[in-house]
Amino acid sequence: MSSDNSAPLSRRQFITGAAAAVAGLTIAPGVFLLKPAEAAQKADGPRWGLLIDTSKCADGCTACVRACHEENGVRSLGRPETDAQWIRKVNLTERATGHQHSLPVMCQHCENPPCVDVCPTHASFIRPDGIVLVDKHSCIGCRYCMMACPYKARSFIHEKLTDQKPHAPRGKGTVESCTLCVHRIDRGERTTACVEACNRDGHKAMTFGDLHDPDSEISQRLRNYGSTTIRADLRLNPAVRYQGI
Amino acid sequence: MTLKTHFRDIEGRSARYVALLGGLLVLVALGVLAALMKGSQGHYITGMNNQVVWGLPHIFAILLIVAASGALNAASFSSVFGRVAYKPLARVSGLLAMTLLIGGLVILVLDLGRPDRLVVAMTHYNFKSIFAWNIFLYTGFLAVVAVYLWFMIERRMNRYVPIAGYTAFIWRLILTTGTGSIFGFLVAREAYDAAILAPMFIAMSFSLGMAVFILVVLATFLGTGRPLGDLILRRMKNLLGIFVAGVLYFVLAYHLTNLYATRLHGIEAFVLLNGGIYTFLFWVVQIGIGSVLPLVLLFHPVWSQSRRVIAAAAGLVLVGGFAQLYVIVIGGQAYPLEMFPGYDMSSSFFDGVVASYVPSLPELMLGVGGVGFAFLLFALALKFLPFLPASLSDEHVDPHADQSGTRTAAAGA
Amino acid sequence: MPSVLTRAGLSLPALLAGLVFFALSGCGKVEPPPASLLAEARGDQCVEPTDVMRREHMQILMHERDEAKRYGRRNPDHSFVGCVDCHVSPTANREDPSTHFCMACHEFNAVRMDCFQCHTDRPSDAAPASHRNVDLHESIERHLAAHADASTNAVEVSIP
Ligand code: SF4
Ligand code: SF4
Repeated sequence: MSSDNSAPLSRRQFITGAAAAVAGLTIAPGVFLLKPAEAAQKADGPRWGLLIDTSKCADGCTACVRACHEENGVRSLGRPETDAQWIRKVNLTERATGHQHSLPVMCQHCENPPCVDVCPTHASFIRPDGIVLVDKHSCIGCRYCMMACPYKARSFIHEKLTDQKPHAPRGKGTVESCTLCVHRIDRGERTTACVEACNRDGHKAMTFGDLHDPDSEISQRLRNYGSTTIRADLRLNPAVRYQGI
Repeated sequence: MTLKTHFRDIEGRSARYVALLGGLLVLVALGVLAALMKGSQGHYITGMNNQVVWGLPHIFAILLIVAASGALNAASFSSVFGRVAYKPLARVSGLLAMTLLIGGLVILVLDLGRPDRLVVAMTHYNFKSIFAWNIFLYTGFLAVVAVYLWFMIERRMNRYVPIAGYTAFIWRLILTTGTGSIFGFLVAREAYDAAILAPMFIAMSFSLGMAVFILVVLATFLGTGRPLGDLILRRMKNLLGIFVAGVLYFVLAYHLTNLYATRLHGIEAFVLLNGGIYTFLFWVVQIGIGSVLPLVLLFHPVWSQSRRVIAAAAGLVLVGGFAQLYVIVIGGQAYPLEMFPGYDMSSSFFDGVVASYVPSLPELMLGVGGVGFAFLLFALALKFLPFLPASLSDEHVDPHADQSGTRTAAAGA
Repeated sequence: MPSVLTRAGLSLPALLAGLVFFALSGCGKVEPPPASLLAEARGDQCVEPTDVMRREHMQILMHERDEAKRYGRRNPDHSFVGCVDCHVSPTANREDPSTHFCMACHEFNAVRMDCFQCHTDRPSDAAPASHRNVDLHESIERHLAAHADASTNAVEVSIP
């Protein structure tokens, strides 16, 4: 809201902001209802995803990691083994050739997510737009989802937290992972903190977009250059796709 | 008409019994303390971390749950397989099954990140989750065995005992399958993605449950000064031997199938050859001390006559089972996820390296707390309800032996 | 033995009914603490009438929670962040309930709430508190260094 700490909000300001957002949201379902007739591929609304071109991902660069953790208030508590990491840079060395490269790995927002399958309370769930989240109101902290995730994407909060970001509630005893910056998407923005940072640094290794929209940049790139996913053998059909692994 | 057994609750005033209760209460208090510490501090005070998310408490819990299903052996043998010799022990067996299961569940619940949300777990079921299924299986098991016990104790209901017995027997098989499937369904992890884990857990339930049961029977009968014949003991120890051999068979089959698949060579080498503590636990504790040694003890013509040796063998089987679960649960997590076949990986999030796990005191306290709670319930139940047969001397066990001296005061089981 | 069971069977429902009654009897009575304890809201009018909010704020929040969380259909008028932004002063401190609108009332009515175990208890425009924590990227860099030779370790493990 206001950047001035002491400035009171007027009701007008408050409600206007609200009304604008509601209008945007209520129009959206209507738009999506009309779309299927136009584009067969766009069956039921968008599916948000990422495309990561590993050949552009610079060794030793951690801009995306930093940006994500800043955006979502993820901080180290000085205990690396229990600290949460929503995104990490993985360094790969091919055994046969010794070729090295690196790439960011986060929750892959699987279409058939094992974490959702195993969660006893429905706390892990997949939104209609394909984003996989943990509902911390019903997560009991059993960590079965962490056992099930093939990408080690999730972190358990091992201690009390303070100073969370308003849009990213997180707390002791629950599990969390990359949200694909769902707060931005719900605000109508069409990028994530990691993509933004990567572009800002000029690497342009990551693209965010709607996998269901054939005209989106990400769909076109995928169609033109192909892609692969991590552990494609598991057929989880992740929304995070890679080029150049 | 089969032989009537007289059941009598225990006096419960002897110094030894009070001391036992006191000791168990101390264990429970330790567990409660650990749970409170975890609740206020969070899990960082334990050895568990983002790599090894299930630790010592889960091993204790799974051990208790698996043993609970196996503790029902004696009851099943009498009601389902018509082995009359086990009839006098059916009630204790059912009771032990219930209390062990409760102990295991308490550990599991107290180790949750949010134990205060237990109600959520009971009201929001995801039927795709094997975990949610297990919640049903566990509570259902308690209910089925409770009814079974009631039918055994209540004379009017005696004729329904076989039905209850069958239900309980089938239920326990499903329950152990469910427990094994918690791991068997984890496609992501090399160590777990195997259907054979379910039958292996059933075999483990037979052997671990029998081991606990033998120890408990020895302790209660000798502790209360009731006669215990060698006949029943000999039968039980022979069965224990067979069950231990059965588990060994499944372990062998599991590793042989894994060795056949090249993609699993990494995890196999880790467990069998170069996994450090896990390799040690596998070969020395699980196979050596926990399987081969007890087999020798149980079938040695001279040694196996001694009750001490039988008790020692049962104890070793439990130690071996603990090691086996440690290797499966912790070892399976410590081995890095293979996300990029053909590549070595490293990151700040411990990718590509064997995760470290050092069990911590609070975890141990929680584990023994659960064990203490299970046996506390058991000991209290023996005092207030007639679960324990007054005598298990040989002539009480063998129905063809002389029936003099038995009384028909209480309903037969 | 049967008598024990019957007795337990009879008394258990009674006990449960009693408990439910006891729990419900406390519902609906929400007393605002003395005005001196309640911080002023920063907006000039709430999104709903005061007495509705006083009684039903939790139902309102709960009702729309799943919609927002699971479907992304958010109503900014009824958002948790909106409540905190307007009602909680940037200088409030949860440990001292008199400075914190939500905590003051909950403390006064002895109603436990665990919202702030996960949600931040400060408005979005509050300056972030000074962090006692190490910055994450520092630790990441430390880690990358520490595990620089981790790959050799992994070879040992993954090739039999
Ligand atoms: S990457 Fe892991 S946490 Fe993310 S959706 Fe897939 S299984 Fe779930
Ligand atoms: S830790 Fe939470 S999100 Fe994960 S499986 Fe358990 S309840 Fe579900």
